[in-house]
Amino acid sequence: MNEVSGFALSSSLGLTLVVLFGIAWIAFGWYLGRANKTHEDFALAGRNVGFALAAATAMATWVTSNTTLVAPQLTYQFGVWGMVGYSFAALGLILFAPLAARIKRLMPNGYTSGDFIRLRYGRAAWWVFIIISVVYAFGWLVSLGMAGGILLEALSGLDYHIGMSAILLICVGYTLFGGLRAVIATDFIQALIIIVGVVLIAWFLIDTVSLESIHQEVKSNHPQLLDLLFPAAIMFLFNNIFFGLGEIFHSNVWWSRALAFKGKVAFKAYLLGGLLWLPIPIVTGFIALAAPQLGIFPPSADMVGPMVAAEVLGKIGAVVVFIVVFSALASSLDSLLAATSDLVTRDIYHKYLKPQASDQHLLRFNRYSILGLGIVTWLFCLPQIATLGALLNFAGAFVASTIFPVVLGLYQRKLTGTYAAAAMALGTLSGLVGYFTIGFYVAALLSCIVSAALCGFGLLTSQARFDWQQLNEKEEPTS
Amino acid sequence: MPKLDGLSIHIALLLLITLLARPAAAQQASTAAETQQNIDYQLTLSTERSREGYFVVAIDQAPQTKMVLQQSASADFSSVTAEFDWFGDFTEMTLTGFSDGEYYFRLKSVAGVSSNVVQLRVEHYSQWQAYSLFFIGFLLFSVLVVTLITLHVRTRRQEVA
Repeated sequence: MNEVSGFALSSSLGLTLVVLFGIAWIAFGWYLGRANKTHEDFALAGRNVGFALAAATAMATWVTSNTTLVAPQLTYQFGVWGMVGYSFAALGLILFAPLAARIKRLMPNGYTSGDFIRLRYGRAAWWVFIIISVVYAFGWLVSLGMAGGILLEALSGLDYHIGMSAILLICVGYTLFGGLRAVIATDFIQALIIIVGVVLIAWFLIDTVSLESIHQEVKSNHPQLLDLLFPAAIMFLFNNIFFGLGEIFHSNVWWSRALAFKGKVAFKAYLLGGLLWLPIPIVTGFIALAAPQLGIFPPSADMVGPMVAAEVLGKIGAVVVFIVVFSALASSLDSLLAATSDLVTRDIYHKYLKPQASDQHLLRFNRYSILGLGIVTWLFCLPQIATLGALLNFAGAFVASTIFPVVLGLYQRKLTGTYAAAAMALGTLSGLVGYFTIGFYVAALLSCIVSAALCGFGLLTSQARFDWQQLNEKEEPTS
Repeated sequence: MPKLDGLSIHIALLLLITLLARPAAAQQASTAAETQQNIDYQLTLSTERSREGYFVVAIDQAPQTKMVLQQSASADFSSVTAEFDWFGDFTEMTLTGFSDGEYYFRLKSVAGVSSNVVQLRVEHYSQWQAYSLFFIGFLLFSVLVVTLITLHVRTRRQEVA
């Protein structure tokens, strides 16, 4: 630890790492992007991603600020349940495996999750869905940008705005050049870095601060963290599961991957990605339990992970933490930029504003969208409005309302667009009421309950029989 | 589409600006610490009643020296039950894992440092509220998983047939 400032890294070393990473990732993105000739190449990597890359991108994209910063935050706030409960978010990937296989079969020519909602449920539901998607995408994008700033501030004391601006700049840069192909390739490398780095940090932590001393300190001075009947933590548990399910089931980040994966790879890739992801929040969350023993009480709960790791491992450890967390943030930020720009390009611009746009025109617009999203995200990140956990769980109120409409929409012919739209809209409203009147840890649960009830009622009363062929929308040739 | 060479130059320039940007005051903050005399810090809490056992303690200005936050069960601090080192030059500290009860906090009085006393009440949600939401969540999750698996298996069978 730096004697003068109390930070593990000097600000100049922190900045040097950012610049080196930035140059490396952007150059890699440019190199991979040379193969992109059409909009389909850029947006869906030519629909030809193999099993190894597919599983790695599923896992790495799900390892994000959530896992590396919010899992320790929630462990610091909710104790053992925060850590275990967070790992249950792996269920999102695991349960999406059959959905991904179904999506690939039903929509071999599809592009986005918005396509599905529009074709399956019609315009009204599509509008509700797009609003939910945009709120969620910005919530996640902003949380990732914020996490970059928080990371650098926690490790080097560097101003939040510099770290935040740097990570956005880097991810926009290489996504702009390389599209989904670059995103998936960098995800593969980032997944390897994350797994090795997280294991190293946990190993050194247990070696330096014994499990016994951590347990004794928490038991004596922070007993609630070890209490398995901790009320707020119990309330949080299923909320987190539904939040994770809602994030994955609705988001174009995961749909675009399902559509980009080769043949029957999607099912196996999501299943393996989920199983690989499962232990990671346990490891990252455990780090937070050592904070009291080390005398670390962070200014903001979301800074606890990097602060503890840097304290235990010193300067080299801080560099490892930086590389791991920065990789995790980048692997999600790039995916989200690519997927959201696809949604804007395909669902709003192409299908709604300019149906006659040529392939090259869409490719150009897609890149402008990435740039625009980066700038808007940067503006939202400027004021540090909430902790990462609180910000993310606000989005939980929105996304959890989509779980049942998506699942039933993929398998059930009877659910109509009216009920799907009502389920998503009223579910979201209920979740927001819960968020503001009870706490962030019930928003997704309430949202999903109301949405499920409306979908159930819709199924019971409907006589509709949806024709699955309508989902296989053929592209009109454009030049 | 932005031209690649122009964009590359802009990105390189922005990275350079980032590299040259002036670091936060954090690095130089506390070296002249002991020269400050009798700073009376104003302590505040993020809430007076915590339902989750965690909360944020804030001071009104960046610390000028190493500081310690003291915790007691009584307003007169006749017995200090815990002490927490203040980290770096941050103006906030998040504490966690507190059981139900009344807690008082102040900065440890040492040369040049004093503060007001703040009071916090921790009152966790009742068990019935927590269990109700837990079992509702469990039930809903079970419904979702059973629905998904049943529909998926049935659809696969139909496709094979």
